[in-house]
Amino acid sequence: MAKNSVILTGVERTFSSDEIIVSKTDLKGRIIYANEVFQRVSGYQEQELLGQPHSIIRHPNMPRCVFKLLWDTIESGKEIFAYVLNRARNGDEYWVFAHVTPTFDRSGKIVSYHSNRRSPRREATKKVSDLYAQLLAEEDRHADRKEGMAASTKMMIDVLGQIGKPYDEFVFSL
Amino acid sequence: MNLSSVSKAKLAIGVALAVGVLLVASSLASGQWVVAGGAGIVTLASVLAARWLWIVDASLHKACSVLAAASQGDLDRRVVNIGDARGVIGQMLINVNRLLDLTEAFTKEADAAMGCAAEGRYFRQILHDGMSGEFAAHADLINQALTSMDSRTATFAKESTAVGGTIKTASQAMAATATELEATSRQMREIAHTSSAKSADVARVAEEASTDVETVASAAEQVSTGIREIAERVSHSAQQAKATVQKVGQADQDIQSLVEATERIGEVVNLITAIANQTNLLALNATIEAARAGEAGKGFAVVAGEVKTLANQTARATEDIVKQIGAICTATETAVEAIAKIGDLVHDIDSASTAIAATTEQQSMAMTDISRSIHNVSAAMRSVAGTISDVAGTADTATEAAGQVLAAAGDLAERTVRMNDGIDQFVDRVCSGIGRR
Ligand SMILES: Cc1cc2nc3c(=O)[nH]c(=O)nc-3n(C[C@H](O)[C@H](O)[C@H](O)COP(=O)(O)O)c2cc1C
Repeated sequence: MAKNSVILTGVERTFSSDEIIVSKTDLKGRIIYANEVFQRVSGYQEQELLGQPHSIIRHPNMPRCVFKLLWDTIESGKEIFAYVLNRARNGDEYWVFAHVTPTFDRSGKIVSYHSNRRSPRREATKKVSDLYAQLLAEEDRHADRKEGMAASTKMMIDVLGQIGKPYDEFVFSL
Repeated sequence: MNLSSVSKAKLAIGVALAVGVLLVASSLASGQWVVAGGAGIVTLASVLAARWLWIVDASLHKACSVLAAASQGDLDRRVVNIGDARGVIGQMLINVNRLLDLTEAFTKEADAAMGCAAEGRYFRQILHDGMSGEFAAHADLINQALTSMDSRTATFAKESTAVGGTIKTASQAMAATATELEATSRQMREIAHTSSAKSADVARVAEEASTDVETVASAAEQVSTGIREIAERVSHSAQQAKATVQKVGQADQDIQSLVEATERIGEVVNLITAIANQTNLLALNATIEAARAGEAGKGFAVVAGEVKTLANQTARATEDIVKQIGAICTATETAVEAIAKIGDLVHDIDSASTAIAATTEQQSMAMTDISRSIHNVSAAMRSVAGTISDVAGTADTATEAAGQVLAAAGDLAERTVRMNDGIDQFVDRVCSGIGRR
């Protein structure tokens, strides 16, 4: 979705810490299931979500490299945690602490993807949004999408290198 | 099964619909409008009921198949397109999904946490957020278990590393000691070997020396005997010398009497000389008388000449005798002097031989002593030789023992080195087994 074509209200939505936003997608990231909390928080009805690409709730402030890391990780069969800022139907925004995992069939082949999202702590989203802003700025510095993403990915690796933690531990330490 | 009730309901609605339709048709035909209107409402209601029943039926089917899959352990499926279902049925479908979402979230979380724990990464715990009721309680329990596992494995790793370290230090010390032991026992073996060889040499030399000493001892004994003999001879010659002195004294006396006899002979000779001189004079006188007496006296003159010749011969003989007596006197004087000298010498010899006798006695005694001590030395040497042979034997045993110690030390060193490696590997295994490395 092009950045300037989406409506943003700047209003933040939240959900309860004992709730989980659940969605499942096919291998291409098209939504095949979205739970009731998903529907309520995103403001979309089930019918509007089913079959749609997950980027339907993509927020323009999210750096691309995060989704690249997400896809690279889950496609390699591993779980990933990521703080993601989403955009509700009406342009409101909401932070989630997303846990995305591949679902395997009996032969071990990935058949779909699954995501549980929890309500993140404010300190964490604060730190993350600072980092994401930097990554996004890095991406915007490059005219070429691929170049931008490579640059921001490198930046993220550098940050992790400075912290001295693998990505998953870093995410949990926030 | 519920289906049977739904089927029955479908059947009942079907019957109601059929009856309604028939009733509408027959009442319209008979012009019974009121009945027709009532039948129409019944028919409409039946149609609506049928539609709702379809929805319920479809919802139940969906729920049923999702639950059937879930009951087979397939937690991935969900009821979708709930849109049409409202109220209790809709809520039921949402609850089916919610239950499955929770269960799947729980199992995924538990899987991930356990997977990480299996790799020794305990930071990944079950996220409490999003869990409710017993799910949350179980999640907390598992998390507590993981936390305690974490601290325990940390302690265990720390301790086993420490223990490994301690063992390693000990075994390193042991290895060092073993190496030292090896070197020492090698040295010991060499020393023992050398001392064995040396002591064998010494034993041989001692044995030889003992024999030599024995020879010396017997030589000394001979010397001692010789000395004793000499002493005896010396004392014998001293005695002889004494006897000689006595004899010399005798000779002195004899010579003295000889001198005296000579002196008396001298006197006699003087007398004879005097007589000869008188005779000569007498003969001279006789000759003179004879000459006076001429012829008569001629025979007499011959006798007187004869007497004179005799007197001259006597005078010459006495002169010879005097000369010889003088010679005898000189000779005796010389003899006396010589005898005196001999006496002195013999005296000297006597005292010297006494001294020699005393000295040789002492020497002989000393020699006996020496011989005895040499015998002792020889015995001592023989016993030394024996002892040294023993030492050589012991040294041989020591060599053997040192060889064994050396082998053992080598073995020990090797083992400790292996043990060290083993400990390292063990600690590595322990730590990597609990994911601490
Ligand atoms: C299971 C699953 C869940 C996802 N959830 C989100 C989400 O909540 N928000 C989001 O922006 N992207 C989500 N994505 C990523 C999207 O598929 C997509 O990569 C992303 O929105 C970026 O869109 P773009 O590639 O069009 O820029 C999810 C993907 C999968 C497989």
